[in-house]
Amino acid sequence: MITHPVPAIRTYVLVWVGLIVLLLLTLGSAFIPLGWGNAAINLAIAVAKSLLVIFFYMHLRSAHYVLRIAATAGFFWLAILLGLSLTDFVTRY
Amino acid sequence: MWNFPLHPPADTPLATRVDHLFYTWLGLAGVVTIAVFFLIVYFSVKYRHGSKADRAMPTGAELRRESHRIEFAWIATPLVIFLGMGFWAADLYYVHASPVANATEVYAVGKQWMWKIEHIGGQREIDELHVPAGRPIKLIMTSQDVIHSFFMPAFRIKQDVLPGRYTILWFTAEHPGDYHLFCTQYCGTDHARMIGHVVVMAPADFQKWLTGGNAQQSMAEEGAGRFRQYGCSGCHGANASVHAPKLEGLFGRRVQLSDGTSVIADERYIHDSVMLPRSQVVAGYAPIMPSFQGQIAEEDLLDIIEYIKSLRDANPGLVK
Amino acid sequence: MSTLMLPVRGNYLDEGFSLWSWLSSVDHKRIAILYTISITMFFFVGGVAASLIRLNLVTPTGDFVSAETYNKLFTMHGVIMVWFFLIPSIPSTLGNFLVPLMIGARDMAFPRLNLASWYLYIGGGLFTVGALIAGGVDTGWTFYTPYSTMFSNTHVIAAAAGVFIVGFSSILTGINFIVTIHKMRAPGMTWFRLPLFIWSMYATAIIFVLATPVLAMTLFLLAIERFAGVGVFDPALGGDPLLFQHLFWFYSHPAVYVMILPAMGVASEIITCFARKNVFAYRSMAFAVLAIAVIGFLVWGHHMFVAGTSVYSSIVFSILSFLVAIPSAIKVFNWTATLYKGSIHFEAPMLYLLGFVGLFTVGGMTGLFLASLALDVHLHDTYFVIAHFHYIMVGGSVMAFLGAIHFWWPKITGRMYSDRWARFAAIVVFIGFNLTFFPQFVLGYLGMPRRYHEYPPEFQVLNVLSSAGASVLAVGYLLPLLYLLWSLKYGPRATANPWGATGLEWQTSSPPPVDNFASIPIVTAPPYQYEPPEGPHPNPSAGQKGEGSEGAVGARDGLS
Ligand code: HEC
Ligand SMILES: [Cu+2]
Repeated sequence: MITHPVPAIRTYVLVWVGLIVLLLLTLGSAFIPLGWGNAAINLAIAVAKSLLVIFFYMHLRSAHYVLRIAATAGFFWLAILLGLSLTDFVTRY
Repeated sequence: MWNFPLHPPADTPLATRVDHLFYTWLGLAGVVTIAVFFLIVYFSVKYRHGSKADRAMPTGAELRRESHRIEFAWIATPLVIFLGMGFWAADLYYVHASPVANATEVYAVGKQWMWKIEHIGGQREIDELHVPAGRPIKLIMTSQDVIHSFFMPAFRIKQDVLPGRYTILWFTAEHPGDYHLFCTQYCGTDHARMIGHVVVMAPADFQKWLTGGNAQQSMAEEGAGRFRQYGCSGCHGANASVHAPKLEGLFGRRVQLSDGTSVIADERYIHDSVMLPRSQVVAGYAPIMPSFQGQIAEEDLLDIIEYIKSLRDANPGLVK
Repeated sequence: MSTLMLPVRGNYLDEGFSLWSWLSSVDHKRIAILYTISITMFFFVGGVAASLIRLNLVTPTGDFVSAETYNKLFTMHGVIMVWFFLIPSIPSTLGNFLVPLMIGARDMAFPRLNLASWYLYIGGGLFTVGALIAGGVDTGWTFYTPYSTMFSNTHVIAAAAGVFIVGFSSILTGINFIVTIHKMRAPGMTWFRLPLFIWSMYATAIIFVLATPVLAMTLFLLAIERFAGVGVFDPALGGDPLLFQHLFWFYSHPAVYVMILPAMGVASEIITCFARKNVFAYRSMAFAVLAIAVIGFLVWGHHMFVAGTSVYSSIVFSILSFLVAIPSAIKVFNWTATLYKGSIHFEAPMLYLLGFVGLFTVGGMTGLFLASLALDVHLHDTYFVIAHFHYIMVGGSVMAFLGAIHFWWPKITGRMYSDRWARFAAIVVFIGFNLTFFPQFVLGYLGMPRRYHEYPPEFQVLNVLSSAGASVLAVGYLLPLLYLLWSLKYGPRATANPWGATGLEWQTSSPPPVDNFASIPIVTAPPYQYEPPEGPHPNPSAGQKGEGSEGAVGARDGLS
């Protein structure tokens, strides 16, 4: 087993605060009508949130490279799901 | 009494072309399958345990070179054949998906568990579709409830029929006859009874059928009535006091929406304007139009759409 | 138990006889047995549903059961056969049993997780069976929206919950396989010395882990739309029903490969053993399995060519579907080439597997018909599709599963069955299968739609043929149940290596000891190093006959 430094409690709390702030941002943006902008902002916030969870809560920041590859594979497959679905959704008449 | 066909009738030019594709595949698949079966049996007999067959094999580098060559051959050959067949099939699919411009439009609504058909002239039929031979027909289809699928095996075509959308199927039947119509997307209890006939008639007979039909008025006239009946004219009519867009010349035009995007006003757009008015609000108007979800049947909405289409070239202010 | 005074731990079957000793065991071999028993039960439940379906279709007017019942029957058949039989079949039974043995490990990486997988499987199964007892589900195994969310008034959520739960069983099994294969290989067992069965388990595990979460998410969305009216798939609520189909098939197409990849692994083991020859082109066999697993994720749109997706998307998915056929074709050709200049024996496992190669070829070739866009427009949702996927999943996977059970039966149970009966059953299954499903290709081209409770009279002759075949097939499936159970008590004891096979699992006793190996083996060579059959009478496994070479084992002499 590869051991890696476990982050301090403080880091966890800070990350949690960060997640809550991002959540409030999402909520707030709902009140500003921006057309496509809303979707873009919300997606960006969602990505930021997942990155926080992945890197800190799931310890991927300090994990063995095989684990990182495994995690990246998940995203790669998600990209396949979204990408190939879009071949349909964006080209319908 | 012996009713045992092995091949379905083919009654459109496309059906014949699809058959050619099918039999070509059948030939290719037959050759490959028979070859595999033959080799399995042949090797099984020749190299059965205890037989005196020669089993000397190349070894080492020679074996590797040999097997690479063989492997390359049986990767490359199928690849080329598959892609060739794939393009052929895609080409036909493109034909299937592109209705010719001068096709006669017929509307169809799938509903648990029946097909409701309406011709432009207002003739309505259930589980039957009468069409003239030799003339391209374009079906514009939607569903009242779940997903259905409109399948005419003799024409080798089918298309799923979705709620909230208009999908299209087109064909040119060649000979008068009576053909199967099936629903092929499972849609609940009586799915297997959602079947009917496609009746292809000689053009003259078809004309007779049209005039002898049950039509009182055309779809557009029917739609004008519905337009008043459901209170649309109260807001969209010429004398309406409500601030609502005029619908003359709407069909086929690009509409600017309040969220900054724009869409072409097609059947789907009008459908959604009525059923889900909040989803696409026209720029410059308040979102006061009520949803008619659950109140207007899909076939009535088709009449209204046909009516709005008929206003395509009309002068503003004509709507009463 | 008290009568057994073993100084060292004995074979895993003697480790405890109480029910609890089984239900609480974390030994991968015992868990494999738990799976085998439960999967067999589900197989026969699904099989009863299939028989009733075929019985109903004997007459065009569907006189045997009502339309409601018919719809529930085919839903039950599909749900049970897909999720409670085919997907876990080979991985959970033989995979669980063999992965540690084949790589020279003492157990799985996470033995307790392994047991948890089984409990999840049973839990999901009970949920689903509960839904069926409570009145059934009528959506078809595909759960298409908006029928499933807004229109069906049967127990959709309960059934979906069962499938949701069993999905987690798949995920945990997948994780266990991946970690075990990465971390627990015996010294010298390099990646390219792994038996091809292990490669196929590895590819299967990848699909489990990457695809199943999407199924869970999709069923969850389905449940909240049905339960709470949140609009996701229903157009009346602003949703898109095709979104459901995209998500569902993103899982369910790879799931088809979960059903066939393990069968391919089994084929490579058994064909090499009974041809007494190294597999033709080992590396391309291994890469083909991985390629199928990966490309298998890119083709789901071919289930939707007439669903209302865009033409562009259909063309993309069609081309990708042809590409995934290439590695499958490679496998078929390589198995055939493996026979070339072998020294072929025809015990029951080999008969099953030769049948597998033939039927899989037919299934694969007809898949190409369906990948061809214009042809799929005609064939989609007809019996042609039914015939095609039964050729893959019954002709392919179930044949291989049966072959595998026969092949490893001596290892698992320590007993030999009657090879004569087994060969007879293999032939009955092969004939019954073709009789059942070949007519359905013709029916499909004629245009008979699937999921029809009644049909136009001109389809009757072919339907009767198919139903007649189904009764032959049923006999073929009952036979192994009988003679295999019989062998448990009366079968002669098996030697460690009755087939003279090369895998590590054959180097330990039959049945294996609790810890699998007395000492961890050291691997020095690639798999399938069967001695080249020189003369007309090669004798590769001479000297491997162990203590009990009497009885049926003596009949194995043909092999030695
Ligand atoms: C209460 C008044 C009202 C009623 C009744 C009403 N509408 Fe509307 N409709 C509007 C308003 C306001 C708009 C523009 C804002 C929007 O798009 O929602 C509109 C928009 C539309 C549009 C889009 C027009 C464009 O220029 O893009 C169509 C089509 C439409 N309505 C059809 C109908 C039909 C058909 C009916 C009857 C079933 C109907 N409406 C009933 C008020 C009404
Ligand atoms: Cu239907």
